[in-house]
Amino acid sequence: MYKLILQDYRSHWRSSLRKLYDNSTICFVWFFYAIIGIDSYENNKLSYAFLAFPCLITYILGRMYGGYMNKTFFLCPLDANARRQYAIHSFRLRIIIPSILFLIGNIILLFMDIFSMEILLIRLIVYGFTAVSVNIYCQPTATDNIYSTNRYPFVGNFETLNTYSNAINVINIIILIHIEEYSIVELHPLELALIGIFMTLQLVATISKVKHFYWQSIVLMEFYK
Amino acid sequence: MIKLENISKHFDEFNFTLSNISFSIPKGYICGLIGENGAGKSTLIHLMLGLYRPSKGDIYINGHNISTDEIKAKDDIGYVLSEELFDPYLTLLANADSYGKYYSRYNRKSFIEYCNRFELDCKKKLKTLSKGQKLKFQFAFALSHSPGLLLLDEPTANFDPNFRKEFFSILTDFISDGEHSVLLATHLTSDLEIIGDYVTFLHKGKLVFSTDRESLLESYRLLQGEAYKLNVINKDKLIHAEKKDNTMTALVTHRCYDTYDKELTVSVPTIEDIMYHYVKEDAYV
Repeated sequence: MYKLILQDYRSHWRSSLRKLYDNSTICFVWFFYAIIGIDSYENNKLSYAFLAFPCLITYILGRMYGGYMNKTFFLCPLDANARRQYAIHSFRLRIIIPSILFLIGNIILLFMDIFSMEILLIRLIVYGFTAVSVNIYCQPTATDNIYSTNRYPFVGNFETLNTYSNAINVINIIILIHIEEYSIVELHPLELALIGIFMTLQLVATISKVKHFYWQSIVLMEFYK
Repeated sequence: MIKLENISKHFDEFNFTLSNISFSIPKGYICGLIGENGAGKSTLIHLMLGLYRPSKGDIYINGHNISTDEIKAKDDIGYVLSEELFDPYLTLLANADSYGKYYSRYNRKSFIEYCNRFELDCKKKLKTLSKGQKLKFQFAFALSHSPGLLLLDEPTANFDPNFRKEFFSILTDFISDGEHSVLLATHLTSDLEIIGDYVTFLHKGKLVFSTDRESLLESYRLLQGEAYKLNVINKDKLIHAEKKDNTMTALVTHRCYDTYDKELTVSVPTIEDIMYHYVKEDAYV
C-alpha cells in the first residue's frame, strides 16, 4: 500500500502543488514561520531550521496530498476497505516522511551538543503533535469538506480548533528555539511552567482533533458520496 | 451483464429522487439510456459506477454486486464521462499508468495502440487537449483494461463525424463476441437508431420503459391527420397528442392487430418521437 501511495504522490505532485496556491491558510503559517526564522537567524539559532523545516514539510505534504481524493480514484477498482486503508497509510506516510528528516537532523544536532537529550525529547513531542494535528485537517474529501465541518462542530467548528492548534504549535516552536541551549535543570521554574502549559494545550488540541475528526475523516474517504 | 433491482436514490440538496429503477442488459448488446435533461441518466450511471450508494436496491455488474463486491464489479467497468476526470498536468500515458495500475487487466501497449488509432499523442499533457480529445483519451483508457461493460455518458456530441463512425465501429466490435455490453447515455437518439439494441427511457427519475428497440418501435405508432380526428383515437392507447393549426400528431400504443382510421397517416415513430411525446405529457405515470 505504501508503494502505491508513493507512486501516486510521485505521479500527481504537480496537480497537488496547485492545491497549495488555492490554500490561503498556508500563507499565514509560512508568514509566522518566516518571522521566527528571521529572529532565529539573527540570534544564531540555526537549530530552528531542523524543527521548522520538518513541520513545514508535513504541512505541505498534508495540503498537497490530503484535502480530497479526486473522483477518478473512486472509480478505480478499490472497495471501501481498501480506500480506508489508503487513507490511513497515506496519513501515516505524511507523518513518517518528514519525521525521518526531523530525526536525522536533530540527532546530528544532539551529537553536535547544540541541545541536550531532554530538549530533543521536548522537540520530538512538539513536532509529533504538530505532524498529527496538521494532517488531520487535510483528510476530508472535497465533496464533503463543508459537510464534515458542519457535521462535526466543536468549539464553534473544525476551523476554530484548527486555528487554535496551529497557533499553539507556533508558540511552542518559539519557546523551543529560545530554550535550546539550556538543559532542563538550568531553566527557571517559570520557563518550565510555560513549556508545560503550552505543551499541555497542544496535547489537548491534538487529542481533540484526533478524537473528533480523525476517524470521521477516514470514513469520509470510503465513499465518494 | 448489468442488472438493476429496485434502485432508488434520493438527493436532499437537489430535491431529486430516482425511484424503483429495475432493468437489465444482457451480454452482447448495446443499450441506449435516454431521457431529457435532469431525468437522472448521469445519476444512474454514477450509481452503476459505485460513486453513489443507492438508498435501496442492488446493482450487479457481470454478477458482482457493486456494493458488496466492489473491486470485481469496478474492474469490469470502463467509463467515459462528460467531465474532467484525470490529472491535467500528466501526459496521457502517465495518466493511464497512474490509474491503470489499479485494474487487473490494464495493458499499456493496448492503451498506446488505441491512442495511435484515435490520433492522440501519448506524450502530450492532458490539459493541452480539446474536450473531444479528452473524451477520446477516456475511451482509449476504458478499452485498455479490457472491461466487460462500457458505461458512456453522452460522449458522441463532442466527437467529430469521422471519429463518430469509428466510435460506433469500435462499439460494434466490442460486443461482437457476445461477452461484452455497452450502456450509452445519449441525447442523440439517432445514434441509437444506428447501433442501439435496447432502449431505456428515464423521465423525472422514473423508468418509463426498458426494452429492445424493435419491440419498442413495434409497440407504438405515430398518427397524423386532421385535428378533429383526435376524437376517434382510443384514449386508453393515447400517450400524447399535439395540435397545430388544423392538424394533429399523436403517439399511441400499438398491438399488431390494431387498425386505424383510413384518413390518418400511420407511421412507425422514431425513438426521438417516442421520447418527445412522453416528455411532453406525463400520461404514462
